[in-house]
Amino acid sequence: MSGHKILHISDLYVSEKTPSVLQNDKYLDPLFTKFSELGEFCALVISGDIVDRGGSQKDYEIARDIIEKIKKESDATHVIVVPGNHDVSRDRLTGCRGDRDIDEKQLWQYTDIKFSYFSEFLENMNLDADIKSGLIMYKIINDPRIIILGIDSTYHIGTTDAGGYINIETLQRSLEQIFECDNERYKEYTKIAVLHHTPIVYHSASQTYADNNGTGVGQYGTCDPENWKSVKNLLLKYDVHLVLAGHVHGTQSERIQEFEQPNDGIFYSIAGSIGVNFNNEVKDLSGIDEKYKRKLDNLQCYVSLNGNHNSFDVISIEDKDYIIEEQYKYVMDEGIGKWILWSKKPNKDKEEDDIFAEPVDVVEPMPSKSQYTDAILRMVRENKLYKTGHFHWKGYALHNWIDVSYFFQHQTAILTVVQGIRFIIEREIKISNPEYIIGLGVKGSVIMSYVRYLFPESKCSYYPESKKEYNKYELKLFDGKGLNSPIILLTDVVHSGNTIKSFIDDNYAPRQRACINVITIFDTYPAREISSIDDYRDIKLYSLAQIQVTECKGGMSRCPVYSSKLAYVYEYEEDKKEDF
Amino acid sequence: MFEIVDNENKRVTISLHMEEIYSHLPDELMIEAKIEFFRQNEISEFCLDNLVNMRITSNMFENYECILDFSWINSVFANQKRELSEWMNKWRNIKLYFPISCNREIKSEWGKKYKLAEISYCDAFRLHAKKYILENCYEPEGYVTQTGTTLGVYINLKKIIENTRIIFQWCYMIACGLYENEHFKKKKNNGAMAFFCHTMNGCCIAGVLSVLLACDLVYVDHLGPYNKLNKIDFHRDSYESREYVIISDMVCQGNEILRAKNIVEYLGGEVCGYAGFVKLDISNIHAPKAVESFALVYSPMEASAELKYTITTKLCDIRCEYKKEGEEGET
Repeated sequence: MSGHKILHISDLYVSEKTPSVLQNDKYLDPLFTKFSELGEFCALVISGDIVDRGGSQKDYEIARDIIEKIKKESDATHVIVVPGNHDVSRDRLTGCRGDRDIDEKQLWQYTDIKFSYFSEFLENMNLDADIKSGLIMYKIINDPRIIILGIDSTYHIGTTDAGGYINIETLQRSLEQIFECDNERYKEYTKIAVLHHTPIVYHSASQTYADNNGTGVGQYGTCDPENWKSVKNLLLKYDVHLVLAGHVHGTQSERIQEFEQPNDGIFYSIAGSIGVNFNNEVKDLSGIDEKYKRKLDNLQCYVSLNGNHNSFDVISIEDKDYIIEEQYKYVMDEGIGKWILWSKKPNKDKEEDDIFAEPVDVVEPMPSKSQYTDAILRMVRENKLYKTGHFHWKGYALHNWIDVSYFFQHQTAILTVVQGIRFIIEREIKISNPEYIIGLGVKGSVIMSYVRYLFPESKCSYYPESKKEYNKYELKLFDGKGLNSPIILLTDVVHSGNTIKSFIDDNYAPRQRACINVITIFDTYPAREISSIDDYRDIKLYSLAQIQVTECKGGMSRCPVYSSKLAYVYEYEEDKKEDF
Repeated sequence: MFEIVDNENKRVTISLHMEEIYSHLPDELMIEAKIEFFRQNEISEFCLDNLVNMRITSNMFENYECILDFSWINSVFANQKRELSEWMNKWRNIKLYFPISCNREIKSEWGKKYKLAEISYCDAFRLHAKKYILENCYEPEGYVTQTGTTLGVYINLKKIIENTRIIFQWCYMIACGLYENEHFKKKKNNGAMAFFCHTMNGCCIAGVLSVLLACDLVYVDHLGPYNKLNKIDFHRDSYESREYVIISDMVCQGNEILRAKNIVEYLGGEVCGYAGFVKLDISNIHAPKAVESFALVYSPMEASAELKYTITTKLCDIRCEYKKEGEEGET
């Protein structure tokens, strides 16, 4: 199994009267753009609070449209929804009580009524659910092998809000029905529990049990601690090690570490709110600076004063035991809202063996130099870089040349060159950390600037092609301390080898062995005299591609191309002052 | 590690973001995928490892104050917070620097626990850069500038080019300067920004910046006292509809910048600014305060007033109003 993703959203707060930000297209467009960037999801998980304050039929209709759009844009095949405390229809519960003598504190037991709108919504979404069970719905997905268990944590919520509580008896019965008869079959499945209330809270969350008890940030979040301990043991019995929840509006996730012993190995991934309009939470702006108020208006208040953002999570299931959680947040950048990757963390540290283990089902082709050569020559062909004409260089003339400047002016092209050079250094020259890397000429120095990222330990410098154009400081290499070990010399094209010979003569004592590995993008084999370079004080020439050029033996004065103007004549202006 | 050690004030300044982006090296995958190094804004385990391995308990940093700059950092993963805190607590005196634009969650979480620093890594760097140039690159011999003016000193920036740690550090600082410019950032995000360079040192700097910011690079080989321009180097399609930042090692009179600008504009591009390691005010090159004019620069092109210069000679002062009494001219 590799790279299967679940989209986890929570706390949508869709409402006709107090619209959620999800009801604003300006907000949805970048969200959908981000979904398309992230690729396909195997499931969309919604961990409660679809609507606000109990909602109405109309609210759920709007919510259904929005969720259908999210499902479509995320390419999610399966949808799992659990109720949140805001999905309990408190008005209907109050209404059903009427004049009857029912204790208001017991109204939470009237499941049919409290979920009347919610169950209608599930039906309209074509989602099978058992609203009377602690396991309100579940999905067994065979490709990838995942079981998602949707748990109702609103058991004790009636007309008044309460903490998260799960009906453990019905949950146990449902789990037994799924697993007991066929437990062996689901052994390799990743099992995920989804509920609304956050069982564990570590950082600055509101509404925690620990906060309510005045004990500070603590072990238990918004679920009843004793109830959650029982639920957790039950989940562990069925090999559930990932819990997705929402409710607290802030993204946070932790493995149980110091607060609970022994470490139960559950990874709690808490999604922030995707829909809450944080602006509504800022009730009183009277004490806020005018400038800041304006900024809040500009931001359209998708970012709250306490730094919370609208967010969603992506859960990537690499394998049964290794899960990566990515949290995306909505931020304003130059007045434009966008979704950015806010945090990324795995459920556990990957073991060394896992990191270096050879993939079983993927066989990486052995890289070869030809792949870089092919890519470079393809660029030459497609961009018509192989020129024909009359190229008058200093001392000689050619009828063909390669326009190498293209490679330097397009980063994709130069990165191909740099990868090829790395291949030559590591595979052909066979050194892992060259001591010296020197760029020859302007183009060589640009290549060197890229290559030094791959070999940050190497000493890097440049050497000009033509001495008289540069001062003595620019001609000095490494403060004149000498080159006492083999070097890598980088350049763009080698033809006659004169520049390389000149470099050696300038920087090495006569008859001193130079030990230079010249790496060039192109060499002009067979026109150049290879032996004259290779034998020159121990130079080895490596090239990524070869081109053929025709020398103009007669020079400009007797060249038929030049005299008859048969082709464009490239006159290289050298040694001439103030061209521009 | 790219920490700046100020022995005089017994202070070590560390940029968390710079440590983060360079902690990935050598990262072949990032090079291959043309990923913008600078956009890394989360603390990785590599960066934390580097911090943890820094020998802060050694005698070298005993009694030193540490300033940890959180600029450009957007998030610290929960599982790394403890490790980072442990590292910070090892310092006898640690202060944190948060820029105005810092992520509020980070600022509120860390700012409560530690003292706030008054100077940033950038501030420390500017002081350090001047000192570094004076101690390492200052050649007290005269030389002829690219435009033929003789100066009394030579700033040998090849020494920076040859030191990978230093060039990465200095290029990072230029990248910060560029990124703070809204116009640059906007154009770059639209793929309409590139670097233009015309000297050997400039090409080396632009090459490093090009990887750091994932920008294309265009060169001219080369402008100077002796021009060697190959017509084949000019691809009109590379220039049109793009804006350029001219990358130069040192800006003196700005003459080369203007010439480079003319070439880019002739070829259909636009120049939006220039950046380099050193800005040298030649009008007071012999005065002790000339040192003050060494700085890492990025200037938008609108600030072209900076390119107006004065040339003083033994014979006369071309723009008399700039001449100061007692100052000798140059040949």
